[in-house]
Amino acid sequence: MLEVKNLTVSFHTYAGEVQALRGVDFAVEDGEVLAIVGESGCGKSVTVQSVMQLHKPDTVDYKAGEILYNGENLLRYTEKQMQQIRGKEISMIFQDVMTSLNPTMTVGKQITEILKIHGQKDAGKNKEQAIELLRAVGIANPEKRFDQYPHEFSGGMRQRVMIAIASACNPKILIADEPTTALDVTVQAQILDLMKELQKERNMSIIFITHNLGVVANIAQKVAVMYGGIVVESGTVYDIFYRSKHPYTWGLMNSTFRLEQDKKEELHPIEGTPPDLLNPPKGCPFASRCEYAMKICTEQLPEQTELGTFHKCRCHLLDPDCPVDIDEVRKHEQKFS
Amino acid sequence: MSKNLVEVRGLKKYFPLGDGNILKAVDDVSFTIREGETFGLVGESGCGKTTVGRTITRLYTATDGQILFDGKDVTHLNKKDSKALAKDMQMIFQDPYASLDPRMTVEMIISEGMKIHKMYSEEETRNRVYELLELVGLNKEHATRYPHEFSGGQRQRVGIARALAVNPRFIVCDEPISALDVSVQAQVVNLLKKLQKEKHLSYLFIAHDLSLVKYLSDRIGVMYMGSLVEVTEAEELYKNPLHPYTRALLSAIPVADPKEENERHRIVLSGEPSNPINTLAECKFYSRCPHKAECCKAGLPALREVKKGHFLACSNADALYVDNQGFL
Repeated sequence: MLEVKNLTVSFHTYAGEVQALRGVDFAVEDGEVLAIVGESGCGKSVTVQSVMQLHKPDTVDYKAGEILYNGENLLRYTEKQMQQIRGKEISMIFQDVMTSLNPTMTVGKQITEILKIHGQKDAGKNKEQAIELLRAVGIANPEKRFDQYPHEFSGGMRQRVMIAIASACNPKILIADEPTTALDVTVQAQILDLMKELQKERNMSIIFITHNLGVVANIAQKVAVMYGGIVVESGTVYDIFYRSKHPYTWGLMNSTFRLEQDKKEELHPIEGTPPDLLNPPKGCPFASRCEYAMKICTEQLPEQTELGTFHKCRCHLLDPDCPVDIDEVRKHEQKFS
Repeated sequence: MSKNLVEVRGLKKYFPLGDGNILKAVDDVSFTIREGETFGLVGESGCGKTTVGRTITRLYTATDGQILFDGKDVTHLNKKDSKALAKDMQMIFQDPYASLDPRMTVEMIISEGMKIHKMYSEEETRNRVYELLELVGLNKEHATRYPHEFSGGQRQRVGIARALAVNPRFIVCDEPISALDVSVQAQVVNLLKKLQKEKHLSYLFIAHDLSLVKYLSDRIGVMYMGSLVEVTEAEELYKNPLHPYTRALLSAIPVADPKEENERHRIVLSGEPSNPINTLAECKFYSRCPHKAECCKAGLPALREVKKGHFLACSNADALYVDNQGFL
């Protein structure tokens, strides 16, 4: 349905060229939830903003690759064509609900606006539909809420309004950029349930960006782990959680707090910091923090190895000529379940 | 057992809103923190946990109640005693970007407290800064740099070094890692644990992430709308949560394991906390509680010990969990 191939994106800044994405590949199929996981600055937001073409045209440079939506390359679309895609075919919700709604417009107007843009001119019918949408996302008293402003809503309620706007035109794909990061756990659980419900009802695909592995386990069927502007590993949730092969994925798992964690056990953080994308390393971006790094890791970016139908990984440890046996390495990761 | 270092008795902090209404951010909260212990405070945003921390470090003046530090009442102090106390009590803030002065070098930031308290000579102060930088995993060369040259995790380390500079006995950590990346969070947590062991520090650890609080704390207090609803040891809270709110909080945390996550039964709370401005006749949790009963209409009861070391504020708890031993 949506396929991103070798997407390479740079930004021109005063400091120089930031190579934000260096060949990103992933695919989303019909009715499936893909989670993109990674730390800040790994390029996950840049990736989805490229899909929606939300970057400022004067700074962004799409160097290579394609974004195929139903076989058509979105990177070739004009702004006018993109407007037909945004909101109708692919829509997006953001992390910061405080700034992504317009504070000077009533919530109702913000929902009917998108219906109007995409061709429904009957105001009365639009209002009816907007109220229905508000009800569908679990907002009590939608007739009254329709005329209220965003500041009259709490954070969780605002995210519900965002979801109502994003789902108004029945998009095929919903992109959610850390939609629950700013919310409390109890509200997060409500929003996740709501998204799953909508997804099932309308058979939407969702691209869900997060750094919380618990949320990934809750909502996703497929996962792509990003680091330093590339997808280092991707596969089904089971591939990633139980059969992962990339040292960065292990590191992420090991540094996640678990409720059942024993206090006496020390956490195993990934030492060091992510690479500077102004001047990215020649080899694997994770090499400087990787316990298993070899000489080749600092010299050459590893190719993708196919491990299963969906399971793909970019790591030199998987090379058939690699002297280290990856399964031996895995055994040393005692804490990894 | 070690003695109590911090004792909070009936603490209240009200904020007048200007329109005649009063926001009861902290409403009658009592707990103690023992020497060398970490006390965790959890709850949703707006529940008053940060206000508790800030009132204890006396960034806010308490409306009512008492704060005892090392047996002395420190709720209201004159300027001189206040300054002396500031040496014993330090704070680490949530936002590593906003809590460091962008126009000061790291050395100036870390040494400021030592200079104010006239602790060391100039040369000693400098050496102490280097020592602290190394202690928190940075190095000497970082001393002349400015905050903007550091990543979030490194800035938080500078914040920790600043808090440690005056040799405090007690540190309030207000969500010190929630602004950091997952891989860096674990680094800072390990550092906080190591420092506690080495320097015999006591922490008040404020966070909304229960899995993290459980890992770090000896005892935990769960707050809801300005009141403590449950206080007990970390392990006990996780194994036998009694208050319906605590149970909902625990069950809302997504588990990083897809198989378990699929099978888990989750208590999803409906709605959000009611407005803390209105004084409610019934229990504060009434509108969201899955186990509400007639007796709950009388209001939120005081904390009482239902099991050794396990304190609970719930009118209906007897019927639900305690008598029939219906622990999880």
